[in-house]
Amino acid sequence: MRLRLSYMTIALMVVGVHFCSPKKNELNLFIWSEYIPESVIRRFETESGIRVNVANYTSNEEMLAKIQAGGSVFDLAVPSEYFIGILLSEDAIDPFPKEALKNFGNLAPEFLNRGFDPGNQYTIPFMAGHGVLVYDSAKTPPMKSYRDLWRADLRNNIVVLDDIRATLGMVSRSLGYSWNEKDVSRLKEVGTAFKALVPNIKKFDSDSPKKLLIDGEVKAGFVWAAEAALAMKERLSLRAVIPEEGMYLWLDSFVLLKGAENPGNALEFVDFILRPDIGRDIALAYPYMTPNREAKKLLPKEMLSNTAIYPPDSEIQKSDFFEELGETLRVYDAIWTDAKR
Amino acid sequence: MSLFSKINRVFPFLVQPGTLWLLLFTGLPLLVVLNLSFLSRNSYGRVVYEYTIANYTRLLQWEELLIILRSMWLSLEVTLLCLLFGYPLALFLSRAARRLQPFLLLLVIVPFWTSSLVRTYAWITILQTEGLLNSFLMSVGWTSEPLTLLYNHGAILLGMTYNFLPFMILPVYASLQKLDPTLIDAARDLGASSLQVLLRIILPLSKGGIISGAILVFIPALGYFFIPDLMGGNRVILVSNHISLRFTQARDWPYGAALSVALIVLTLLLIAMFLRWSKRSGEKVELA
Repeated sequence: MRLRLSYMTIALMVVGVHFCSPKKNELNLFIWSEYIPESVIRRFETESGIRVNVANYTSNEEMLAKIQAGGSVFDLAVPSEYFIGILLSEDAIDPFPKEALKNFGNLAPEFLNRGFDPGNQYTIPFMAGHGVLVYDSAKTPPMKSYRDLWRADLRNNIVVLDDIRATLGMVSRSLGYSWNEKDVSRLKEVGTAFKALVPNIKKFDSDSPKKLLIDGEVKAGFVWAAEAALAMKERLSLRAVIPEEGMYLWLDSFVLLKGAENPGNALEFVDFILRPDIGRDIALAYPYMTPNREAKKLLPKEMLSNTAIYPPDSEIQKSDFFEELGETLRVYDAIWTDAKR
Repeated sequence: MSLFSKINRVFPFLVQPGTLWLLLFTGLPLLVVLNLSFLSRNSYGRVVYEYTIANYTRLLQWEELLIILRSMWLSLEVTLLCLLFGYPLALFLSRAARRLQPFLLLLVIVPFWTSSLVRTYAWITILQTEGLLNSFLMSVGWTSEPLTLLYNHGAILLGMTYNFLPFMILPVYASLQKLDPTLIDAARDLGASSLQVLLRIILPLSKGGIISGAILVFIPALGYFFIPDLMGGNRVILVSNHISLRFTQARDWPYGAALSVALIVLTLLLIAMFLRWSKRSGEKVELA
C-alpha cells in the first residue's frame, strides 16, 4: 500500500509539474554560473514584469548536452565564440534579430563582426576576457614575452592553465605560430617546446590558478586575466603583462536557442543588458571585460587602467580568438597526453 | 505463505525495490556506456551512430596502455604504503586494553567524518612553500630555504596513503582481533622470538584482513583523481583524468566510454584474482 502510494505521489508530481505551470510571462536563461548578478535579474523582473528562470552550466559542452537532451526549455544561452560553429552545425540556434535591439550601438566595434560570426547574425556579445602573463616582481625579473616562461630561474615555478587549447596555443604563439595552428610539422615543434616547458610547470590549474600566485607557490604563470586580477588584489607584488606576441581573447555572447518559446522576452532582456547602466553594474560585479563601450565609460579609472581587466584597445584589435580545429584537435590532444607523463 | 513472498520467491527482481534501484540507476547507465563505447564521433565531437571497434583497438596502443599501467603502479604503491603504516597500527589497536579499543578505533575514524576534499586542502596549507611546516622549519633554523613538499610524486603518495589508511586498518584490525591469543602463547612457550611470532603466526593468520584491505585500497585508488590533481599539480595523466578529458576538452565520448569499460573490466578481474588467491590460501575475505 505504501509502495502504491509513493508511486501515485510520483505520478502526481510529474503530472503536477506539467500542468500546474501556466504559461506566464517568462524567460528561460541558460548561463555560466557566477556570471550575472542577482540584482540585475531582479531589476529586469520589476521593470519588465517578465519572470526570469536562470539555470547554470560550467562548460560549453555541458550546455550543449543539456539543450539537446531536454528539448527547447531555454530561450537564451551564452556560449563562447569557438562554440558558435558547433551550435550552428548542430542546428541549435536561430538568427538573432539584432535590428530589434535599441542598444546594439553601445557595443564596441572591436567585438563585433569577428570571424566566428560575420555580421553578428547569431550572436550578441555579453562578456569578454583574455589570457595574460603574470609574474611576481619581488621574486623574478620582469617578463615581456611568452618565451620568458622557459627561463631557467622559473624551474618548477610557474602555473599554466589545464586547458589544451589555451596552453598549447600559447606555446604555438611563442614560436611565432598561430593560436589555431593546424600545420602538422609546426605542431611537432609545439610538442617539443611544450615538453621543454613542463619542467618549469609546478601545476596545471584552470579552476583557481590564482591560489598558487597568491600563496607565493609560483613565481609566474599564464592564466586567465580575471584570475590574475583577483590575485593581484591579494599579493601586491604580482604584475600582469600582455606579451609582445599578443594575447588571445574569449568572448561569450547571447544566442537565441532553436525553438525558444519566449523570443520576444529574450530580445527585451538582451536589450536591457546592453543598457550602459546595467552593463556597468555587471562589469563591476565580475573582473571580466565588458564589450559595451558606453558601459565602460561609466567604470572607475583604476579598473580601466588594470591590464588584467582592460587591455588597451590596440591589443584587443590584434588579438586572436580560438577557432574550431576539427580533426586537428586530436593532434593537440596527443601532444598534451604525451607531455604529461 | 503470503502472496507477496511467493512472488518474491519466483520473481525477486520484480518485487525488490533494491534490485529495481540497482537495475535502473546502475545497470542501465552502464549499458548506455557500453553502447557508447562502440559508437563513433564526428569532427565536432558529436556522437555518431556508426558502430565500430576502433575505440577498443586504440586502447591497445602503447601510449594508452602506459596510462593504465601508470595508474595501476600508483595504486600499488599506495596499497603497499597503507599496509606498511596500517598494519602496525592495527596490531597495536588489537593488542591495546579491551576498554580502550573502541575509543582508539574512533580516533582512526573521526577525521574521516570530514570531507576528504577539505582534508586535502588542509594538507596543502601545511605543505605549501609558505605553509605551516616550512614556516616552522625555517623559524627553528633547520632549513634556510623552503622545501618543495607539494606538487610532486611524494605529495601524491602522502595524500593518497593518508586518505586510504583506515580502509587498510579496519579489516586488518578485524582479522587480528579474531586471532586466538593462546596461539601466540604456545609459540612463545616453544621458544619463538617476537619476530618469529610476528612472521610465522600473526602475519599468516591475518592474511584475510590484509587481502580485504588491499582490495579496499587498490581498487578505489585506481580511479582517484583529485589528490593527484590538487597535491600533484595535475602534471601526470592517470586513467581517471584521461577519461574525464575525453568527455570534456578532447570531445571524444565514445573513446572515454571504452576507457571506462576497460577500467570496470580490469577492476572486476582484479577482484576475482584477489578472491581466488584468498580462497586458495583458505582465508575468509570480508568486503562488507
